[in-house]
Amino acid sequence: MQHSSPRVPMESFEERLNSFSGIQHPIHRERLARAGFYSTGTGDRVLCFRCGGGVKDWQPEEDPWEEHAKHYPGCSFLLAEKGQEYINSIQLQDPPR
Amino acid sequence: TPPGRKRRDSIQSYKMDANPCGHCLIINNVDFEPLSELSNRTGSNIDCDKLERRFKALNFIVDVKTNLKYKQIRHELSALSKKDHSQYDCCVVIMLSHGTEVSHNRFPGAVHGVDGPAVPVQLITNYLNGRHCPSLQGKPKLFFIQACGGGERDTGFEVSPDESRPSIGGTDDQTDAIPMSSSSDSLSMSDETDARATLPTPSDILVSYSTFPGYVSWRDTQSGSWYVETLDRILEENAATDDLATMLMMVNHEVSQNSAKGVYKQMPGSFNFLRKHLYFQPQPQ
Repeated sequence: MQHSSPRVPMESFEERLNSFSGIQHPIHRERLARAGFYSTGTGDRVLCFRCGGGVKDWQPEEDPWEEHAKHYPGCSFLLAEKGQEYINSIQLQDPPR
Repeated sequence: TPPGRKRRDSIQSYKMDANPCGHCLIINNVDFEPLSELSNRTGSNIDCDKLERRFKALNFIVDVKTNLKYKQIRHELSALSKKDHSQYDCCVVIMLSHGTEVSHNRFPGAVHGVDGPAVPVQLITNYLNGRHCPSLQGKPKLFFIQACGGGERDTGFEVSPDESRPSIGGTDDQTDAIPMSSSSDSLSMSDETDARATLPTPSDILVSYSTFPGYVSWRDTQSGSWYVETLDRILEENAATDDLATMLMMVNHEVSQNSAKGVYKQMPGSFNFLRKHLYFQPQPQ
């Protein structure tokens, strides 16, 4: 029964999006929220609602999904949303990482 | 050796010219105890023989251990981590067993002992990280895992929290963890300043899974597993010219193509925290 399982905080896109209100962030908040990230409220630090993986020190040209796949390839949300081939392609691209 | 290949440690490539190159531990679990409710892994000896030959040809000191229980797996990994690797350039661990789904944001999955309980991959990698094995700091640590990530049989077998919690270093395989201040991933801290993520980034570790944890991995009882067969052949044909990441791309592609022809699909997974290219040093045959 899905109804009886405890709700995961920041599971919904809207919740994650709202976490960025009042936060200055170098990356568009919608892209971050789509990639599973929500703001911790501290600087540009974000966390994934599913795997708990955090990323900070964002550069404007960076892609949230790419960073998610680079640092937290085991995330099940990432796998479900982007698929295995995507994760492998990020993981096996040339160094430096 | 192709001319111009960099053998020394450089910004681009790991030094890989130690002779021998390093240790290679192969754990080959074939016969499972009845209480484990896991089937015997016919065909795994074929995989094991292939990889033993292959890594000897790549100048590794290969040590094969067969039918290890949960505690014995941990004992072997611990013994490997306590060896002095100062004279070597690399370390390889190969696990051939049944697997189970365990969530972790870097290295998910777990590998069963023949008695049943499974060792989380995150723990397996932790044994050789910079903190627990200083003589491998900055050197590539490679893990090849042929295991069913679940699906073939993933019902009714849970590792108890006590058993899944590593005693060294500690890992956090809970999906609700807040790792911001955690140093539990604890890898070599030398490049922490470069770390983008808020967890210390694992350094110099690569895990190649036969399949993404949670998916089925196929083994032919006559010819061995799809993944090992492909990995062995790609290493044989390309190790003299290509780096490991490139070869793993080939392996992933071939296994997925192979499986696309049949009813069942399989896609190996590469979880790569190496900082440089890695070129093996095949021995002249």
